[in-house]
Amino acid sequence: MEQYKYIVLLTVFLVVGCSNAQEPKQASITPVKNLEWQLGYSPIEQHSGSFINKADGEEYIYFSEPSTKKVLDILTLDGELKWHISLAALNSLNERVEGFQVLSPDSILVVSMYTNHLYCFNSKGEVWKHIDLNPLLEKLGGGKHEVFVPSYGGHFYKNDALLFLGTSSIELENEPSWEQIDIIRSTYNIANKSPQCFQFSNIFSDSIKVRSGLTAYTTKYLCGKDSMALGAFQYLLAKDKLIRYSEHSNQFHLVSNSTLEVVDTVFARSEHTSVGCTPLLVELKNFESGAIVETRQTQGCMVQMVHDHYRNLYYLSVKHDVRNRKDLENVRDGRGPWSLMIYNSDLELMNEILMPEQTYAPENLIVCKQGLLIGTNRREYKTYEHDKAKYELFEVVVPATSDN
Amino acid sequence: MIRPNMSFLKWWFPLLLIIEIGCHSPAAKENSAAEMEHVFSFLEENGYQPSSDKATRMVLVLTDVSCPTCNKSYALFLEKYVADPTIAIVVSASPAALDISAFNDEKATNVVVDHRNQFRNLTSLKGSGAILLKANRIDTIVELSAQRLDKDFQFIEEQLK
Repeated sequence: MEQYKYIVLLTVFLVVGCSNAQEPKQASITPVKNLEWQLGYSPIEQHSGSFINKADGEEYIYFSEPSTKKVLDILTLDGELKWHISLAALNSLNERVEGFQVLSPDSILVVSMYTNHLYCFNSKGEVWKHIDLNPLLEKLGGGKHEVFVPSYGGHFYKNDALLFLGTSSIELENEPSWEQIDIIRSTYNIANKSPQCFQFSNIFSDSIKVRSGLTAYTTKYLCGKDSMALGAFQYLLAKDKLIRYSEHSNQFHLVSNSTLEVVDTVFARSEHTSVGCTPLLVELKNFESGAIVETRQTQGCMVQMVHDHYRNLYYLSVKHDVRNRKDLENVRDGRGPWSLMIYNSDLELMNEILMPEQTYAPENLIVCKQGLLIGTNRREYKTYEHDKAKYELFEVVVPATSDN
Repeated sequence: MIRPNMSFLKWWFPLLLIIEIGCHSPAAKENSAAEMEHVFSFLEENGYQPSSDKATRMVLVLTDVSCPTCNKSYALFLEKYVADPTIAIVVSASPAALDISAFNDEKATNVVVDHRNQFRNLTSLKGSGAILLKANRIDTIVELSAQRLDKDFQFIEEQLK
């Protein structure tokens, strides 16, 4: 009987041990109200966001349309238009816009597409600072580099430093089409081995410094040396964290600010879907752009991660794999169901919330003081309106005892 | 002397005839006509007014799909056809992705702005390009390619002379 004593004791320890394990407290979201702003255009997520204006301590939402109308509107969440800024100066610059971040009405950062330039606009629509990043990138060697901001919007500037993802040897002015697959293959072969992150510090001084990191990130963390990790350049520049993630992985990576290399990995596990699109082989003979489109539009993957600095939470949208759906045409390309994953400040999963299909855009999350704004105005939705910004405001409910 | 067995001809000729008729059946033309009907319904629902005395010769489609540089060049190329009543221009590109201000002009009476990007569901043309019409049917579809962009522009221009 002596041996049973030990078995019973061991069982008790195990049960007690398990029940004492610290489960992160659940957080949830509740829809509060629909918000619509009549702007005369429908902004895309890359050109939308929120910021706190240091001059008055208030939070504002901004929407921009820098391609056709070339305007920026800064509003309160209640819909009051505070600033309407013309960006007509972009015409004379002959630039298209890659990235947009508003620090204040007089510090509007615009990153050009393909040409590696940063422009700072003021509220009169004048460019008061221009930085050509190319000479700085050339110092790094290794051929041409091209910088990218977060694909679905988000900050690329923090503490007097710019942080971009990047790639090498793309033909900057002439992006190859999928029919030029040989160029694309060689581009990815080089890019896979190159630095994929660029940081420019002291940008408002005369001695801007540049350094690179995440060398060969794609092959090390996403898809191996013979694959192409196509698609979005996704990263989150949060308060004290730099997080790199991708459509091609079920992990997101914490990157050290000092070394610009990966220091930790977190798995994004969903109860509803597999996460991570299949990478494509670089040497695939019958490679077709259709395969890429099919992969990205139908497989489950991480879409957008944002940081809620008010509640110190992280939200990650994960679209679901819809390949088995009979009504595939209705749910492909981000129109299907998706999950909103909520993580605490230690990046522990607090909750996974199933979002309905064809209602909310998984790539259009904006954090504000009142909660989380999720876009509802996608071109593919039947309710799309081409002259408005439309969001639903969700209240974020965090348990009072949580450490968040 | 061996005489060839000609009995197979009894069924071979009718079979050939069926195959021949099958190949030239009007199904393809019917498909093209149905496609064209959808295209014209879409254009007219969105405000396109065809010329009363001249047939529509071509539908030019501008998207923001694939090569952005090509689409930018194509937008500039299309500007000279704004206000030509024998050409319909469909702008499916998002104004946030491509400067389409030239197509919002009052003179642009032959331009249809496809806000919800629905035109791509009507024909096999998914990116930017041209649909050449003949006798109100789709004759040729040209999808722009970065590799042969100049040739594509040249071809479209020649067809419009």
